[in-house]
Amino acid sequence: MTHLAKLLSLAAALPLGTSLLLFAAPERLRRGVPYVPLAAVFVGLALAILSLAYQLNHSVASPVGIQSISMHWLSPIIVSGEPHAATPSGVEPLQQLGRLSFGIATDSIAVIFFVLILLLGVAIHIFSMGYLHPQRAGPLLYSLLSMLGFSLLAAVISSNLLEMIILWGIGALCIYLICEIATPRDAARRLGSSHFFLMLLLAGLSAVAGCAMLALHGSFAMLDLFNQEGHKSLGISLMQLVQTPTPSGLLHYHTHHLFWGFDWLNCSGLLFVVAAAGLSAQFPFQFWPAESVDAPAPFNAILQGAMVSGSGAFLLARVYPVLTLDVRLVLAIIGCTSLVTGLLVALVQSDLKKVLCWTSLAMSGFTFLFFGVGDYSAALLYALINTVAFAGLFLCAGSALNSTRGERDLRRLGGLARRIPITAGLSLIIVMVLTGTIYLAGGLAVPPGVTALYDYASAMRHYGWLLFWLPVCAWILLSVVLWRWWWLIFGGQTRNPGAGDIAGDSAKLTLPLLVVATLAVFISHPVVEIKTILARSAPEGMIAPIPQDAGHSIGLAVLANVKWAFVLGPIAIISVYAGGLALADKIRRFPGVNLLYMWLYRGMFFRELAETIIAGGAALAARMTSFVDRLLLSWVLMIMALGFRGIGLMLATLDARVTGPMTDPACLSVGNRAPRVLATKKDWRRIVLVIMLTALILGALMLYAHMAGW
Amino acid sequence: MVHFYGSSSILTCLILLPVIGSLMLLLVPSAKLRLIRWSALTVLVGMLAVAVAGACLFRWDMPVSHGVFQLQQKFLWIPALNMHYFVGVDNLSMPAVLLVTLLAFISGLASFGLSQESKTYYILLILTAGALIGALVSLDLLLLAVFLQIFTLSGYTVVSLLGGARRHTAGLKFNLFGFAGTLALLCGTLVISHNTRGLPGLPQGTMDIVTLTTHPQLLRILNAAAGSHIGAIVFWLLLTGFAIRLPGIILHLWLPEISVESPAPIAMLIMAGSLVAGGYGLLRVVYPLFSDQALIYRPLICEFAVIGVVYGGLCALAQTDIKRLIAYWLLSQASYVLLGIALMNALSIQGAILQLFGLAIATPLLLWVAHTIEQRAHHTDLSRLGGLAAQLPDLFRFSIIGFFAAMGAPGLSLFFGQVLILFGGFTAVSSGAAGSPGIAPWQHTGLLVLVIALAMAMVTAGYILWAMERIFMGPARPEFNHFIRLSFQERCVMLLPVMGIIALGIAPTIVVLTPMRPAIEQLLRAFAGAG
Repeated sequence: MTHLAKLLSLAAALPLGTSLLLFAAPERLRRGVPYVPLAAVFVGLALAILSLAYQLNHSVASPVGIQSISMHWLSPIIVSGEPHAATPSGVEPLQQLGRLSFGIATDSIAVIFFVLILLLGVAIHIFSMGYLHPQRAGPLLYSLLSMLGFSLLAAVISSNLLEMIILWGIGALCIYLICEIATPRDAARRLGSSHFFLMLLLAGLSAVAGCAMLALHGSFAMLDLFNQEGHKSLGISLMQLVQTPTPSGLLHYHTHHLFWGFDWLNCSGLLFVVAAAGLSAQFPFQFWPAESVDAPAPFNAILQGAMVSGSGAFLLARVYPVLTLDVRLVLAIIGCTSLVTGLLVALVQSDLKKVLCWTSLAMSGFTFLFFGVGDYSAALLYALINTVAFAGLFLCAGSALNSTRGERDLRRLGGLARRIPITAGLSLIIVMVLTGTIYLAGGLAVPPGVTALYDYASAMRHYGWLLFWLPVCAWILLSVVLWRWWWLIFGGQTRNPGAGDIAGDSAKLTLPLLVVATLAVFISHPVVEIKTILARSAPEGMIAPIPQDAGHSIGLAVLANVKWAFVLGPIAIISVYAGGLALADKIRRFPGVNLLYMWLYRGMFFRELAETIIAGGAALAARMTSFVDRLLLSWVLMIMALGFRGIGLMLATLDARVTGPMTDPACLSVGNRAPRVLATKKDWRRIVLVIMLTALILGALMLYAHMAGW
Repeated sequence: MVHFYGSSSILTCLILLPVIGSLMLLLVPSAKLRLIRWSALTVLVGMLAVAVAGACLFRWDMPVSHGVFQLQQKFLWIPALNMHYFVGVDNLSMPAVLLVTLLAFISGLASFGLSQESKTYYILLILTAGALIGALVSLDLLLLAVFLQIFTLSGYTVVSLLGGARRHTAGLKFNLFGFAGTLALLCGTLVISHNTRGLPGLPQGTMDIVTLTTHPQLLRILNAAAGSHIGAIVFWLLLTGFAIRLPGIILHLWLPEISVESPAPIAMLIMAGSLVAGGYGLLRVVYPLFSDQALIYRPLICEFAVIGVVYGGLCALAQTDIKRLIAYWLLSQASYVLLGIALMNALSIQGAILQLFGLAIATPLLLWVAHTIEQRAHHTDLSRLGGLAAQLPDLFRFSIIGFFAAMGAPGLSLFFGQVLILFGGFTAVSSGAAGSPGIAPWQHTGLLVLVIALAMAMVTAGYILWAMERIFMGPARPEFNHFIRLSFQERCVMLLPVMGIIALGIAPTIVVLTPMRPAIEQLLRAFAGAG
């Protein structure tokens, strides 16, 4: 095992140990419990920073690719021996399934994500200690929090895709339970947490199916997707598999169809895209993040940061080599749709958490879009910034909620900058980073992937231009949405004067915010060179070939000036909301606009649609099946009972004819009752019927036997 | 040629121990309940100890070429029927025996303090466990059928005598279906015996599993018969006989009633034990003997299994009673076992075995959780429960593991079984049945079947989460404030399955697959010759 793997596995094992320890602790224990996982995360962070230094040092000296070690205690013992193992092509399916084992694979992306998770873990732990009511924060909650930390850490260093999905599955279970335990209980919230868990499960199942398809033809081990010499080219096994000498052959891969014109590589890629879309709440799975708004703010930060922004992007980064051009187009369309719809819905929300939910999933649309158009490093950079920034914004929202005793309606907030100035300032910094404010946002000042986007859209026919213009419009809209959010919470005058005492900033709540805001600024800044590291790890030859003569002058002019989009947001918001909510209300009530407002306010009815189609369909099917089960049950029993009764009657009658009249058994117990002959006319009719039926069945059987040539 | 390695009477001791124990319990006065209870537990611990001693004597690394059955004992029992008392274990049955003795011990422990606790109850519990063990170690088909019928009768008696309000219906259904299963098995056995009559060295035919599976001439005859309708009929008879135990769809009608009406420890033993016996029978008898037929009917059986998965899952979704929900969940999950076996490849078989063991260990935990709730709330109606996480935090912790295992969560007992079954399914679909004359390709329907099986994991998670939320989440109800915490005995009953679930989830290869390797290889060798 390499030094790097040792350090990372130790750092990941610490939360696991803490989790098991706390799971066994009695629930009444409260004092000192939060400090145990915090200490584990701190030690883990120190180890991870050491790993990062080692990795960076090593990558400067020589380009280090992915390194993998495996433990085969989990793998099936026999992978061959199928009676019909060979495919028509002569390749034995699942020949590489020996790689279905737990292990560690390390590269630059893994280490960066690892450190990021631990940094956010420290911030969220400290914030939780100041935010959660001690009644709800027992050993079980912290045990689950530690297990969640372990699963996320282990997932980013996992050596194969299936292992990564398994660990995310554990993480999803933990976050579901955390939300259930930590949230004040009422019936409405129940559905929400189930919804997001089921959506994460759908993503997991889709990814498992994708893995199975990959495994049938090759492997889903990281080493086979990215070869030993780094991400500079695709894995040798993968190229051999599709019989192409260059990576671009893989991009244009087409072979015999499975169904609807899709071949196995496209199918597998699409399944991974569905998985990533489920994880990152992209179109059409956009409804679930808004379902989790009732959970405490630190857990929203985990869900939106780790799950929505981070995990989907990380999955796409890992499966990137197997995504063909067709699949990438789907990815780009999904990203673009999510981006626009998410921001439009976020623009009209009045719940301070819902605005962030919809904005975060919209921003993940940028990640999908950039992956789709082939800008690998820009996509990953966006994922990292979104992870940090939205975790920070949710913590800010938590701080605001803490100071207003849980008021979530933006229309009743306002003027909090005077009460919690540090939180207001730090949230403003994060908003400015996300909206690409020049000098502060560094690498984000111009959306990093926008050039690739322009080239890709220019090369597309028909409606391809939408893939450039919609994101550019969305970039301006983002500024409006985030500035609106900030202004309605912190700017202007308070709109709820009767709120009474308002709590100020506290150290436990502001210190994590400071950490996250600093991280958000530095991660996007060119000084840190994260983009350079990410660009170095991008697979070579995976960018779609773009014709050079494509393009037009208006697009180029927009591209040159898009960096000034951040100015439009504050101007628009101050002009609408400077005088309070009156102007906004007037616009909202305008005929036509009010309908659009309602449609967007309800999240375009995504949730209702999903509930009607999936939950309604399942409930209907369940009722019908249950009805059939009952019917079947009674029918089978009735037929069996009738059959036995018929045989019994027949035998009893025959017996009576041979040995004389049979008495009713009931008479034996009563004693004095007159004996009754069983075989009445009615009985005889019944017996004849039974005999005829039996003869009919036997005759049919004999006829069948004769025809079958027995 | 049958080899006898380590001929021993330890398996006979294991079968006789419950019989002797029951006879001794008969002598104890009924009023001395404490003495009866501890005596019964001693018998069950003794059975566990004998099984462990057998496992210690067993050579787990015996090469397959030397014959796989050990600790054998054989003598002619009923000459007229050519029925032998023939017992022995291999790498498949030994772990199953250990599992069943452990289940019997858990059931015995769970019976302490039960309202139905009595001398009759304990005698029938011990006999049920003994009959199950007898079925697992039988190497004669007729003996196997006899033990399964004893299991059915003892189970029927205890349910009918000591069950709930609808105990007679539940007992009758269990008995009828069990009897039908035994009858199917008997008919199949007699036809096999008839077909092998007159062969060299076998003037009366044979019902000996070892001879049938290892004798090349017999296999040829059986496989030749497989081409005719007789072979197909025998295959379906045996398949039905064991699928009733598993249970498969349509043959499951006894299951919900047993789950609801039986005393909880008896339901734990009957449901988990019957599942093990059914799965074991398919792996031991049906598939090795009729691998040709199995290959011909593979698509049909797989589709039948997936219908079971869907049917059970949808029925579970419609339930409002915890115990009925568990019964339909078991039907759905047991259908995965059938699917794994029917797919007939290395991965799916390993998956089916993992799923079988995982289910056998998770079912008692779920039933016991339902029982502990019933003991306190006096009902198991999901619509009238809620908020128990706050009032019974310890039960909640155990239940998290049970319910998550039930939905096939990663790291717990059912996950790897299902993953391997699905991967095996994709392998089967990919390879199809190319090269096998007379076998239709299965790519398209096979893919659909697997996609449905995969999608059903969502439904399973849906109803399990729904049930868990209805029981434990939501606002705490004041009427449950008086609930007492879990007793030491209740925790012990839960702890053993929880440990098993975690062990199977974390190290399935070490716990199950590696010890079973020779048996799995033997099975795959039988499959390899098919077609």
